[in-house]
Amino acid sequence: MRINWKFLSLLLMVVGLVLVALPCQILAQANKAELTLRLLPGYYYSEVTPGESKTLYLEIENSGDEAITNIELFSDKPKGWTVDFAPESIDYLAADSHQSIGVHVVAGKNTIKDDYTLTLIAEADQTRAVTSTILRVEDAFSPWRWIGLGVGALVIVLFVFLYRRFGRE
Amino acid sequence: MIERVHEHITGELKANAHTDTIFAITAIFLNLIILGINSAISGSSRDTSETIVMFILVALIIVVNFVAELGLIRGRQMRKKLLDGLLKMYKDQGVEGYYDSSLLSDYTTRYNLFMLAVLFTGVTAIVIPFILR
Repeated sequence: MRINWKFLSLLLMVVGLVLVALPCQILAQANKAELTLRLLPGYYYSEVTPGESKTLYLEIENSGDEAITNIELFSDKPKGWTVDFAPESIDYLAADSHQSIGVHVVAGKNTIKDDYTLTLIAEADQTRAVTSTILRVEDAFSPWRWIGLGVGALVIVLFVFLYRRFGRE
Repeated sequence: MIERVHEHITGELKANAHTDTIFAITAIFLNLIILGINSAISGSSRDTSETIVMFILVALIIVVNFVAELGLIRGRQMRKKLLDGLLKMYKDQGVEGYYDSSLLSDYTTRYNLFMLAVLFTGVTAIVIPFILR
């Protein structure tokens, strides 16, 4: 029996390629849990007033091809602030689906005027997602205003003293 | 001799006016520049280093305004002394009728207005950046 070496080597090459490529194909087809957390447009760099509630809206999306279960929502917030989620948790989020979440933020009454970072975290059985936003506190008590007015008043007093002390004809 | 004294007094009056103008303009100009810088700083950032820069510039405003106000007070007194001497000289020469002595109080009013302008641009330059912060 004559061996067709050309055919045999071609066959071996094809078998080798299949063996190399097959695991990659298997990996690509594995189910993947991918959670995305993002603030809806217009809620980034929002203004908040101390003591008053401000609602931000988040969208949580499962962009993978596996369902995600037991998603807990929590936040890393500035001291004295209150952050509540509605709903507080999601039991089941099917693949390729999303859900809106309301985030009620109350800045502490003694919060001074500044920019604050609020980090929002979603943690599930399979994965976790994090997003953050900057909140600007306005209409708050600002010590700087009083420092400025104090220095201004001091300068006027100094002028009156100078005028009375050195201004005599 | 009296002509030389007259020339000397009028020369002193010119130099005095020149110096006082420099005091007032420099102080007002510097106040406005620092108002711009400090407003920009307070609007952009709240870093500690920038707050220190702001306070240093406020200290500069206070020192420059103090010097300018003192200079203007002294300038006003000097002008009054020079004009008093000039008036006395005119009186001795019998030509005092040509110089209205009420000009003295007009100069005093003008100096007070200069001082108020310097003071209030200075106070504005200090207070506004803090209010914006």
